[in-house]
Amino acid sequence: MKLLTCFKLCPDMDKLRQQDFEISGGKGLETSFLPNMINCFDESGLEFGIRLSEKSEGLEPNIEKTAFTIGGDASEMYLRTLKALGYEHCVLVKKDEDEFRYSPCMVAQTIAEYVGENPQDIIVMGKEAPNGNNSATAQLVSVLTGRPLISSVIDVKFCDDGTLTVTVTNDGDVYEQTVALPVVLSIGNAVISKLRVPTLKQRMKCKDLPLEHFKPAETSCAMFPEPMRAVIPDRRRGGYLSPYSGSEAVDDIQGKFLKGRLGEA
Amino acid sequence: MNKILNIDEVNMQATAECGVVLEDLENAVRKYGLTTGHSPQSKPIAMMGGLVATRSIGQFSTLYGGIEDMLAGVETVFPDGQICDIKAVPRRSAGPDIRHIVLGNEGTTNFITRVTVKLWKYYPEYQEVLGFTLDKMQDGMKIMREIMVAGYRPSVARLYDAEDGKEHFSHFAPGKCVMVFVTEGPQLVSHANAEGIRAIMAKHSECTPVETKLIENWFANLNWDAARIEEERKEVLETNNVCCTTEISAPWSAVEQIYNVCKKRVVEEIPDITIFGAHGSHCYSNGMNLYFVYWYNVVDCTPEEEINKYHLPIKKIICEETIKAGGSMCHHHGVGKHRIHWIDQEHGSALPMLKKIKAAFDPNGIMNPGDILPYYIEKK
Repeated sequence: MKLLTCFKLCPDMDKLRQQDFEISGGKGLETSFLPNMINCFDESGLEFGIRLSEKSEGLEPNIEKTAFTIGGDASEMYLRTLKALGYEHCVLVKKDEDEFRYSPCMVAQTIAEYVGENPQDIIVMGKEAPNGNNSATAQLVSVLTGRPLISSVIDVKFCDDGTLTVTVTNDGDVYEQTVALPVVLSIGNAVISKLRVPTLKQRMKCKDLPLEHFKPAETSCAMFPEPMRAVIPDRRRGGYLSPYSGSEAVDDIQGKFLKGRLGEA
Repeated sequence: MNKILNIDEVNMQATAECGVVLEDLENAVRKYGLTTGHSPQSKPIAMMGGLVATRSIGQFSTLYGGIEDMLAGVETVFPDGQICDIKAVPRRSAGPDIRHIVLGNEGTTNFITRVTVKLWKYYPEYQEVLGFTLDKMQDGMKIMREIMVAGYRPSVARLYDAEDGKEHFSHFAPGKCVMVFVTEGPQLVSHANAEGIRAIMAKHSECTPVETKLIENWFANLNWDAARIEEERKEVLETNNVCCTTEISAPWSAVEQIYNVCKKRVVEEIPDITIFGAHGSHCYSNGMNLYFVYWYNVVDCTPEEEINKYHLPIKKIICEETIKAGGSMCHHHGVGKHRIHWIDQEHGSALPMLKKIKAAFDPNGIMNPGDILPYYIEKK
């Protein structure tokens, strides 16, 4: 049985200071100086992959895991970490991040092409990433590969008969469904959010192992428009009033904030 | 005891009660265009009395020094009820410096009630930030020595090895060591320090300059807020991957050996290590500190056993190898109860002085017992 977990690196937006907000190339925030991280939803997916594989140990067939990403050189370190954690195949599609930044369709086509050449039973990916935030890739992969999509997945369990028990959220409700394979799973706010950490010895063993590279056919996709122009809107002020007496707070709000706006004397 | 008592712009010193939080004092003096120069990561929660009692040091120490360089005067209470007020003066030669009976006592001989620290003019506009990558930690140590011995005084002088740097710099320096400098002070002084450091770095072809914005962004996010600390707690619970540190200091002639031996031994002898790295974050003309940072997966043991299975054995290797090579087993986190096991080796023939101080000021052993001196030494 084969499992493919797709992930992407994204900038750690928590580390972007307000004074550094700046538009890059007219299309989005400048984030090139920020540390990167595995998109949190994808990170859950990667850990689920390992857990599913552990559960399948001793069963036939075992789960063979592939970690798949599209990105630049920075992805290699993460792929090696995944190799150390037991992903048998770690596949990199080398692309400049900006090329695919707003193109879930091109990403989905690339994944579908890989799956076409390397058939998979379970395809896992996060539901969205902060620098795109469109929840589109999993849906498109589902369409392009002709497999059912289970979205907003928060837990996955492997059953002895080769099916999966998938826990999903829907409009505040939580329910379980048993699904046959093949399937695409789009991970939401999962119960597992962190990827385990390989030991130094595990990492050293894998440090020179070659990564796999996949070169997709030239793709073009016009299903999603590219943003024409990005701007940072004028900010509205917000903040906390220090806790003091109610009357002082009212005076403060009136004097500092409302008076000028209402044009009172 | 949480009041700021005086900010003296003429004599450039501030007096605060022991419970004043450092960040509150720093914010208060900033209104006058001044700074305490003290900026440990604990700044938002650490109190002035505690900072003195533990011999604290901050991130800008290479220019401003540790708390022992900042402390002008202090009031403290001894267990017999005696209140002693050590007056704040620029310097004096009236016998031994009795401030050092108070500094770093960790509550074992007296309780600090009031602190007077020096102040400096604050010039954020003239701060310059420099970053460089290089391949070998050992080369970085030599270059750091060259800069310090030449007489340059950046406020921040840091050197990260590739393993420790992985957590901080992998987005622009994967597998590389990183050196970071910040210079500050009056424009001419700050710029002269920055230019001097650039000139030395330029001589070393193994060093590559890093775009300033990368370092500025890293430095701006170095200190965690309460939310980040809580986030880490959750991560630990989920992954069972724990981070601990041990910091030592060493003369230039020993620092490389300590680094090499500790790295080799810990990686070979301790199970389940996921990262073992180090950085130097406080530099002096005669040596530097090494801040060992290690992460390990907690495997097959209860939470109560974790400290004995991992943390203490690692600390033992680091402390013993450091003392053997001529360094100090604690640069700025104090002795506490974790490092008392090696206090006799740390002080050697000077240990009786420590025992006599304890015996003289706390004859009944009622002050923070079992800290700094273990019972078996204290009562010997």
